[in-house]
Amino acid sequence: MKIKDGFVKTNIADQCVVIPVGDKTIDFRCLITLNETGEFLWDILQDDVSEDILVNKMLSEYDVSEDEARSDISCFIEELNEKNLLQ
Amino acid sequence: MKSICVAGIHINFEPFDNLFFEKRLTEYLCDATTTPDMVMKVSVVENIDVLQENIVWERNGIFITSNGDKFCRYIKSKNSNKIGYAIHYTFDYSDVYIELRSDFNYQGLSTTDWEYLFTGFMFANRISFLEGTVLHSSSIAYKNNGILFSADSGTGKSTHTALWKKHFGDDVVTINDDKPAIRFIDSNPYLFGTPWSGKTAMNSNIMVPLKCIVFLERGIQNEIREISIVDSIQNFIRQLPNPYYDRSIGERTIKFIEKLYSSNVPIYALACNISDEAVMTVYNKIFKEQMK
Repeated sequence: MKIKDGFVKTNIADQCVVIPVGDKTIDFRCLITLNETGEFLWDILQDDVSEDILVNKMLSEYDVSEDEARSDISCFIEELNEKNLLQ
Repeated sequence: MKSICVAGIHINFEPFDNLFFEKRLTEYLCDATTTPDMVMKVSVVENIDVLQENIVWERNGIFITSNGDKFCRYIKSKNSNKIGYAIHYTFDYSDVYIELRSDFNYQGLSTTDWEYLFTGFMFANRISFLEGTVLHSSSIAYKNNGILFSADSGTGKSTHTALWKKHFGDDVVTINDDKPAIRFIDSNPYLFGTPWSGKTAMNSNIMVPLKCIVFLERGIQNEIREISIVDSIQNFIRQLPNPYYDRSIGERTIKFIEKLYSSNVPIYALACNISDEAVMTVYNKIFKEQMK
């Protein structure tokens, strides 16, 4: 899975925001705000990766248990799917 | 062909409706140059042919063809299936040719209305390649300080800036009542008038340093506050160019917003009614509090 094309991430004053551009503006009229972990996962999801790869990368970056990582990632992916942001 | 200079951008402009544009362009006429930043021509024609090029995007009767760095965006009329308009443009909008079919009256607008809208959009796209943008706003200069009041159409931007004019008289100059330009010069943002000023021809061909940006909303009482980053980006994205047909413009707009933040231009949210107090609420915030 990976993030669909047509979304630009920007960091302004420590606030991470994702903005739709081009024809994505027709269907997505809102911004997406990301916290630190969300931004970390968003960046990885620019490439086509599996959930296991996301978990492994998160474990190597953050001091969390595998269960916590899987749970957080699962919630994040669910949110992205709800917004139809993944391909 | 008219040679005009808008926000420091030299344009060789050949509109179709000269009568409409004559008054609006007078202040912007300049000496002709052999190396304009933009060439823009509009024709009203009986029939529009589709170029035999690759279709690179299509949706709801609108389609874009491409031949390398050149593009053309077409719309089909819903009833007749004929082409209503064709906008030919280079990737950086330095060369634009707009064809309007003579009986094209989509959304009840005349060919003059569409000419006005499309040329304004194309200018906005072009300026994004030249360290600038166009912000949907009513803008004034108060004693050489550029102030932009931005909001959705119908909120009361023009009403508010008219109150400034009434209160401060000649100390206030209307820069543009709908689509002023902002450009960075030597890393500093400046506000410029443009001929695309909406329903009225209220615009001036001047440039002033940009003092602040105010996002306006209707309120019962008058209150001004510094706006959160997320709220301001949300507002900017609604009022700056981010066209569906060219993601590179949206990407440039986002870079422009980043640059605006780096320049520390204050950005406020104003809830206001139609009163003199609304003007003074902004004035006190911008000019009095900063002097403390």
